Amino acid sequence: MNAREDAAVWNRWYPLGSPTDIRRRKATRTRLLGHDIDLEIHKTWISASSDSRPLPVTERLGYVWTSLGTPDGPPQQLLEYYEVDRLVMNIWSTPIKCSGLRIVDNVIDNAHFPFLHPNILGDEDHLDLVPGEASVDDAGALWLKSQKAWLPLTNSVAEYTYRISDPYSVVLFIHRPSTPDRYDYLGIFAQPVDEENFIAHKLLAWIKEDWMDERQLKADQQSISAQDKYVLERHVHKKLPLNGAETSIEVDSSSLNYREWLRANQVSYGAMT
Amino acid sequence: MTSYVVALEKDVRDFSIVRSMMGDKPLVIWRGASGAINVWLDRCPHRSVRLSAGRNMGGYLEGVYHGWKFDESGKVTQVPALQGRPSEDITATVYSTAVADGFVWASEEECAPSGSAGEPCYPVHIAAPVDQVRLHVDASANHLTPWGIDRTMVYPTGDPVQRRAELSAIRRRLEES
Amino acid sequence: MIQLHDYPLSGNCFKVRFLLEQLDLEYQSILVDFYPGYEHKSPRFLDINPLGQLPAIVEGGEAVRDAQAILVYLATAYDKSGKWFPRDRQGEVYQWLAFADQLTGSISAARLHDAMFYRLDVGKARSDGIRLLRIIDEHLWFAEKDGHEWLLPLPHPTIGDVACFPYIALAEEGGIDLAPFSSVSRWMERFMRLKGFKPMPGMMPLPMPKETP
Repeated sequence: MNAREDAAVWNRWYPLGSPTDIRRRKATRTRLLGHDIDLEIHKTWISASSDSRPLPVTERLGYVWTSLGTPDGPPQQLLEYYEVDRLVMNIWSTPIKCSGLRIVDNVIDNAHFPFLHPNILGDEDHLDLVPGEASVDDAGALWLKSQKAWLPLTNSVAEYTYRISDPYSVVLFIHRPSTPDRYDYLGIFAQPVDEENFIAHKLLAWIKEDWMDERQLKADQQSISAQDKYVLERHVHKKLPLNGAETSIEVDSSSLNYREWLRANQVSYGAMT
Repeated sequence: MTSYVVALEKDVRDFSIVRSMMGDKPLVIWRGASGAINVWLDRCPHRSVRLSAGRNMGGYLEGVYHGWKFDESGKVTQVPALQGRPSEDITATVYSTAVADGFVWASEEECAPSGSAGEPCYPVHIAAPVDQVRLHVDASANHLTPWGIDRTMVYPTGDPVQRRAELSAIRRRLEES
Repeated sequence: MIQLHDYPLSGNCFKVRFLLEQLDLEYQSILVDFYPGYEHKSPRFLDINPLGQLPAIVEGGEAVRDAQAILVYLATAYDKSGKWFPRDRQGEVYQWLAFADQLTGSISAARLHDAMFYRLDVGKARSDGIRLLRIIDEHLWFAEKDGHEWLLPLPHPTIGDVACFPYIALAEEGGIDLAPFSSVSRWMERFMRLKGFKPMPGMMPLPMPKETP
């Protein structure tokens, strides 16, 4: 379909990459929603255009964002990203061959941890899952709060909250037992190249601790993403079914909530309807 | 009604998975603990990931994404996230299968190996007309070779269009010989 | 101790990690931010390998570069069994090491294009990769027919198998479907069943079931 016909997708902000990465790669072209985007790298900023039409550009959360349509306000915010005691980085921007909606569906699903991330994010001896509560806030964002799953890395149960403010993105709040009012964050922002391809931009913003090694954290997060890629690129249906093409069960409540939220927002680009 | 040769029986090994095609349909082929060969659509009914990306554990096929266990009839007998409870109303798409002459046959309807039905059947996996391929049965090794008559390699590709083109090229070559 | 300049998503680094572990050698992994940091092109790393390629190992102040060369070095220096690099079959092993180099230039290049924005002719990289897969599939088909399981007609794998394995196993990340290569698929399953095999991220993450459990 033509993305222009999907207002819920067209009039959104999307990241095109971190400015550092765009400069290092000397990237002059990318794609968004089936359209070529020309990039121009200036001394202090990066501009974008589509068919010679200048596009709005802004920098936020370490990424350059643009929109092909007329978004209602600035890109999504995460003020905690700017706190001084945080380690923040772009884990990477990497293309993946399926709909970007698929990665959101993957991130909010804890039932796959023991199988795709064995002994890292889950293991087969601890299959208990506590589903979170779903709610939609005043701004229209979907929240999936306090999902619990066993985390072998810490040998304890971890708690996760997810915020989906845009169809193609999800921010993961990792609860911190030592500071219950603060979280570590991972952001997965998909740049939909077209309906069956996207670029995953993955952000990390964790409260800095002595043991943290930036290279190690980046390598670990990339490894987890590469494990997910093994299934993401092996979907028979490249788009995310919002119809009956996939059967869900009771423990898929997060996935069902997300799909329901997409339907309520009339999202069809990148979806099977 | 068409039945297809989808694999060589010898290639379908215990604790292993074979991928093939039936027309445009991707297949996962696996031999279960019973010794029977199962031919299913290569798509998990739950999250549409290729079943062939998972594991053949003997008694069951395990999906890679969520560890669901499919028994040989295609039923989901264990869902780990349900504490191992079954979800038997969910099943894989199972095709009718037969083994004959060292080939694995499959059909969307009742599978009938050619020779009995007399239908023209074209082995998809080997990409040559089955009666021609039979000439090349390696009797000593009790299996068939995926080779054409002049030892030209006969390799079907994953792309159905290209596969058909290769198939007709091979058929032409066989007809000429 | 051996220092390995390492990146977890590099197939060439995987080969070296695999052999180090098979030989029970202790090593220190020094992470290089290959992507998106491009640290393999940084002055710090270029001092170790002027070619700016991973992996490299440093032992006793001496550096050895190039995945295949490191496999030869480690097997020669540390493999008392002589299995990984059999003395009387070095020519055959080198042939597969050179083949592995061609896999790096084709399948691995396609993967770098698809996952990390490398600018190259991906159509050519894929078709070169498919040509190589047909060659190795044919080789393995005849090997199996003669009752052999590995690239060399020996009852065990060699560094030739180690060198060829990772980029073939990761071919789908470069947009190359492995379904048509059935002998290659069986050889990969055998490799993944080897004792001590740890899958690289991007490969089937759980252990392969044994043929004889």
